[in-house]
Amino acid sequence: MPRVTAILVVQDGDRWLDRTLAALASQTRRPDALVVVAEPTTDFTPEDLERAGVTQVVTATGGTFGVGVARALRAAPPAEEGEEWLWLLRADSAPEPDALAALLAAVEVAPSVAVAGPKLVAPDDHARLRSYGVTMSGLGATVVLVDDALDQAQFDVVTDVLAVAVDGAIVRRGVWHAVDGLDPGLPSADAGLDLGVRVRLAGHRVVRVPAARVERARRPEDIGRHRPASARVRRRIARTAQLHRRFVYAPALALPLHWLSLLPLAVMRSIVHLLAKRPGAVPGEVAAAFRAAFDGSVPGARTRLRRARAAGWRAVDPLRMRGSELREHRAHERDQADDRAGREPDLVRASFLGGGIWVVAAAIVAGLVTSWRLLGATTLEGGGLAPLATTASELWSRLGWGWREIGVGFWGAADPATALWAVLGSTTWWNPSYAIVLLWITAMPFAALGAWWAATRLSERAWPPVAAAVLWIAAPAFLAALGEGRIGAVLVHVLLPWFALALIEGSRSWSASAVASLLFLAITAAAPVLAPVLLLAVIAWALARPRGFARIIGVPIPAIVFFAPLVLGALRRGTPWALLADPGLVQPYTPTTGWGLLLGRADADVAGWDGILVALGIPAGWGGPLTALLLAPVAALALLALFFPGARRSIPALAVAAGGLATAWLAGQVHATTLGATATGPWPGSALSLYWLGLVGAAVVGLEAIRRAAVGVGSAAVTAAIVAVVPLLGALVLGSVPVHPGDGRVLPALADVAGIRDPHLGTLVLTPEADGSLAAVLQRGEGATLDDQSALHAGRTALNDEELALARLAGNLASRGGYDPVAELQRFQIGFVLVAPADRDHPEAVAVRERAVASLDAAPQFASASESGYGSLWVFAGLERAADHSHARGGYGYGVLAVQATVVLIALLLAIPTRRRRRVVQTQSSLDEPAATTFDEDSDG
Amino acid sequence: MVDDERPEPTPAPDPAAEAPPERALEADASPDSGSSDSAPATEAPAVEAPLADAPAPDAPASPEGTGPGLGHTVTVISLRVVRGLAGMAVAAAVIAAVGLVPLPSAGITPLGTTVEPEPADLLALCPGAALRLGDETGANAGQPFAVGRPELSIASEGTPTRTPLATSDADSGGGDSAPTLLRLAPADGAVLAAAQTQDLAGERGLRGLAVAGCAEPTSSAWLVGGATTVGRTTLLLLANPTSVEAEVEVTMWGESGPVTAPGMKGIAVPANGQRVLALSGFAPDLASPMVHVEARGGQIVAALQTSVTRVLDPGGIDLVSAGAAPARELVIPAVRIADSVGVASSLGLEGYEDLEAAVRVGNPGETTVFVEVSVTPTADQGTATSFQIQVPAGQVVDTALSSALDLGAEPFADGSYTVTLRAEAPVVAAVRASTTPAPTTDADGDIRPGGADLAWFASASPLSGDVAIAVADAAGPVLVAAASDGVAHTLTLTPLDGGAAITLEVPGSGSAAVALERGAGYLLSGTRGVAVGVSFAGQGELGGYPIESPRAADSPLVIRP
Repeated sequence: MPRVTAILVVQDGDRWLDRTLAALASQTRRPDALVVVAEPTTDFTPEDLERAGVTQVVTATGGTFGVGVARALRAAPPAEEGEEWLWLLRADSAPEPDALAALLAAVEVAPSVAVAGPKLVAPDDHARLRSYGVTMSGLGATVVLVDDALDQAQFDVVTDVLAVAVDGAIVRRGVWHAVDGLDPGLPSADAGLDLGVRVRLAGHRVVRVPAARVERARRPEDIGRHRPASARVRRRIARTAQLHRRFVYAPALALPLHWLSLLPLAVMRSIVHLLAKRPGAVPGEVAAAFRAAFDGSVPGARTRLRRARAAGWRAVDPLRMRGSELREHRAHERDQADDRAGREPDLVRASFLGGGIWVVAAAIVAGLVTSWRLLGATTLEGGGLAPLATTASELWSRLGWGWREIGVGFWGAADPATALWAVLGSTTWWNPSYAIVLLWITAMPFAALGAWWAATRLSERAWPPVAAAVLWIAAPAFLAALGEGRIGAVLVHVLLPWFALALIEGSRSWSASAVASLLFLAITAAAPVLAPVLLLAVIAWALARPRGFARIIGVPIPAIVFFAPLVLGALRRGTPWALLADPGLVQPYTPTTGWGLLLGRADADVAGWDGILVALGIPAGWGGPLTALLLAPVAALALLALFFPGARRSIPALAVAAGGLATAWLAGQVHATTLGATATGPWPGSALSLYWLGLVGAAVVGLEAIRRAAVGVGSAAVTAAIVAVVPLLGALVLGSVPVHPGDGRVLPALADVAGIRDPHLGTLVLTPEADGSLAAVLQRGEGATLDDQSALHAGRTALNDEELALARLAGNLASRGGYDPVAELQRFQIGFVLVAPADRDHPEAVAVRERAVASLDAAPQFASASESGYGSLWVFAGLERAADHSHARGGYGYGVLAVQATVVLIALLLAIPTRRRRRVVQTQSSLDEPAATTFDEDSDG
Repeated sequence: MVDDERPEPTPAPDPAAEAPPERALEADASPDSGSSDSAPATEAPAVEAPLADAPAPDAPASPEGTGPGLGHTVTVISLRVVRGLAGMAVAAAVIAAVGLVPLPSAGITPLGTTVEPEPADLLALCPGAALRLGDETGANAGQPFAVGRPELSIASEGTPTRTPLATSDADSGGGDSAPTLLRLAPADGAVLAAAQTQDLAGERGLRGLAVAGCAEPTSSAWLVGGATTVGRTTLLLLANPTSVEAEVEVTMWGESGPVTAPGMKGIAVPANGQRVLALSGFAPDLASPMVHVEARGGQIVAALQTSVTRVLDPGGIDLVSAGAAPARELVIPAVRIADSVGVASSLGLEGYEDLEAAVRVGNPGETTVFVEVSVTPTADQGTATSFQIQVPAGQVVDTALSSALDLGAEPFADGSYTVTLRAEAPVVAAVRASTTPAPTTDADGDIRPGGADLAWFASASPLSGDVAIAVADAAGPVLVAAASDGVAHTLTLTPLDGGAAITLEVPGSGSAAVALERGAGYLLSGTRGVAVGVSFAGQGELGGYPIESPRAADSPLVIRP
């Protein structure tokens, strides 16, 4: 009979200790010695120890399982003769009564066996296997042969394995000493695997014993933790252990290679994690790589391996799992995990073919009709529109932080919208400005599609989403934005429904939340004034969905990363209002009243019913009440929703509407940017889009609730809402709006051509202002395009020295006097001076223009070059071009760019859908089909 | 952070999700109302049934059959009503707040800096001697000839140089009859003003008083006055004192709209030279011309010389100075009515209809404009009278000033008047007045009209600062100052050659007049926002000119970089 020394290491598992001691006490084959290694704080009852046959108690603080075993072995000297086995147990390893007997029986007949492991089973169900053998893949990755499987004796056939878990196993004491015990570099995961590998390399065998069962209450990784380790932590520990083993097992020559591959591998694996929607695993992956790179326990472990090694690695090869077997095993593991996760509920939604396709087709027609004047254009101009840079690479070069070529130029952060322009312009890379034309033509269908899609989450009937789509493209703010060329507001309107959809879905899907985060970035970039209210909405939604909290709360991250440099810059300059500036050209508007905002009217300049009524002989002032009357059905439906079931949808929708309205209301009072003699604020229209989104959402819930009446009531409401925007539609069709096809230039042809040849050549543009002052803007090259605009520039509150010098030059150029401008023209590298046309309704502007023209005509340095719609142009032929300063981005600039690129890349990888989609059940158009629970099946309560 | 890449496991099939939809909807409805969730989902169908028109065929029977639960039904419905009413109340509050509560504005203000340009030479160009078409023999009817020479009054601190322009269409280049340029180098306190006067007594068919201020060259001038009807000759004088040739474009409007004619564009005015063009060459028989002159290259001084011949009698001459550019508010400060009795008694004579004082309003814009014209006497108790006229787009309208008077009222008495125009879109305007002694009846019983003269009073821009005034050496000079900004001003007139200063109180509304010494020079201070004109009247003589701010082209300018 071999001698058995049982070693029970109690690290922190006090609560299982009594059960384990009791189980030891009832062993049919009692160990010959039982050494308990405990913390000083461990609480024993002497009777229990007595009954279990404890021979020695060693108290020590801290240390891993391996350290505990070593302490026990020091306390229990080896037997003088005969073979001796060590039975390694943890506090939670309660063995079945015949466990030791079965283990010994298995090794008795096989002298080559040095390690024998029992079935580790769940404490509450001994038929459920927790661990039963471990092996490696060809590349050394851990393969757990059995993990959480029902024991149906299916694993009993094969007993020879590469390794077994340490807890519950018996190890020949001589071999234990020969291989020098456990590797301190593997405190929890892979400890048994590593031991098995070294035992095998020392020429012994490792077996698993079907008849022996030992409980395992918790995973080795959970020891020393208050709560079980999360999947994220387990993944990190496993990866750390794997990398440690790689450095221990690898041939010495391959070590540098492995070391160098750590970082690339970590990056690649992080990408895989992101694609597999495991963003939480990425920090662990990186941490494991860093840990492995500076792992001091590797030399010792390599020595330990080399000393005991008797056989070559060929000895282990047959026991590795490879090829199809491994693939099958992995697939099985995935299936198990999916089973555990449970099936997601089906998504019930109206069929696209049953309504969506028709409304999108109608929107395509509407888009073509309202933009027929733009169909042949290659660029749009007017209002807030300007051409984009001529190449896509220029667009991308604006991103991040660097030299902003607007006015006299300055170093500063780019507007986040530059990323938007870059993406937009790259879709038509051969002529980036053409993308804006396409956007204008396709905005209506895209907006309708988004609205229809989002509305299917609020209603399963076919009709309400159709009504929502029509109402969405009939939004007054949207049509006004199309007319006034407010590209930011147009993008907001197109993207908002998609964002709402992605945010709703984001509570259960990483993919959707990543899409939502990118849309959040796009929307806040297009209308920074929406950032506060959207941020509130995201936080509220995250709190309302605690189980999706992590997925939703991360939605603003890309926007935060893109806005951070701008916020820092604005705060350092003391111009916080600039953060609210709409991107693109500064475009002043006449603010409307609060009543106007309630009717969705963003500013007082847009066409309303007043004009038409006056033409019909009805006094002005009735336009507002008429519009209110026409929009009343939609508002009534939205409020009606509160009286019907579906408050979980209607109340948030109305809250969104209130948030949008409040934002619009406040935006109208803020002056964030200046243009010449006017200061203006963010356009309230984009906030009104949010207001409209909430209203339409609530109206859809109302339509859903009134069932059979929905078609009639909905048609009436939609028709009235369309009539309400007839003036706006008419203005678009008739072309009485600022937007019109352009020639792609900011400057007159002569200066433009010179600017293309020489991108740093300056053109001084003098614009007469209504108050008799003169705006002086320095344009470089082809002039400031849409992507050159900067919120920091538009919202600055003080003039710097360069600007004052430019003002001095401009003031003297516009005055008859004895001033010699050559030195300053040379300094600013100005080759052209343009005096823009004056508004004939403002005599002071006309007068100051005449003064400027007269004095430039009289100046001998200038030659009059051209007269055009851009104004009067003079050439300064005496310009000697100096070498241009190169504006290198600098370390900070590249750092900003790197961080932003990384965050967007992460979001993009997360956004790629790689998981199985939810099953979609499409309802057809039958209108009285009852509504189900699309929105609420994920309810937490 | 939750690390689960997988969708959240659904621990157990949600009864609501599995339940027939009607119930599920109900289940979501109640908990959100916040107050209580008293209605179990299973009992909801009982709630739904009464809401539907008929018992829905797919309305599920309660699986558990927990009874009717009438109490619950009432609770749920009343909760919904409460929820709806609360929502309506909140909505009403939000609407009222947005509609009624005014918010303060916040944010940034426009940027700008005032630039003081380097000073330029002070310039004044006097238009030169009166001209007539055709030489002494009546030949060369298209050719202008100078008649006599004007007298210059110069008011300056510092000694200006005097140079006649080198060339002129009137062949007077370099001589005393040519336009004369006065130039004074910039220095602290340097001021320069000049005026010219020429009194013609019928020689070469011209009679009357022609006075004009000497102006700085500009690139744009608006001239209102003259006519090209029978007996009326109007010449456009374009003088270019700069060293660069000026390319001039003339735009004309008349009583029936814009005038288009060849030769109105690309008129070259040589450097240091004068061009004279007859308006009849562009538009013969035009009763109410209005001319806009725009120069590129060099700058010019533009003026109209208009003269009247009634049958064979010379009936007046005037030099029309450039007035204010189109504006919504115009002031013609110094309109002089002289010998009103004589004018009134001559109006009935043939060809004398245009003696009546009239305002000419031109609308260069593209929409019809309603203009309100006020006539205010400068006399202390003078009350303003006004009338409205409608000026169609692109047209020029002459209206008698007497339109302001009630029917049968006394005509305007002799004296100075200020005419103010308010329009809803920019317009230009000037006032024509005439004087003549009452006609006499000779021995044959024929009525012999007296020697008449006419004057065009141009509109004046508000002055931007102190200004020197040269009073032409003509009869009865009166200075009229009208506040254009609605604020009372105190003006001080300091004679440049020494003497007691004169103080003039200008009321916020209306105007004030003071008689000046003929041929004298004054420094006028306290003038910011005041429009000033000078008028002259004697026996059969009438004239006037507006006072313009000097150095408008190098005054401080607000630049917004």
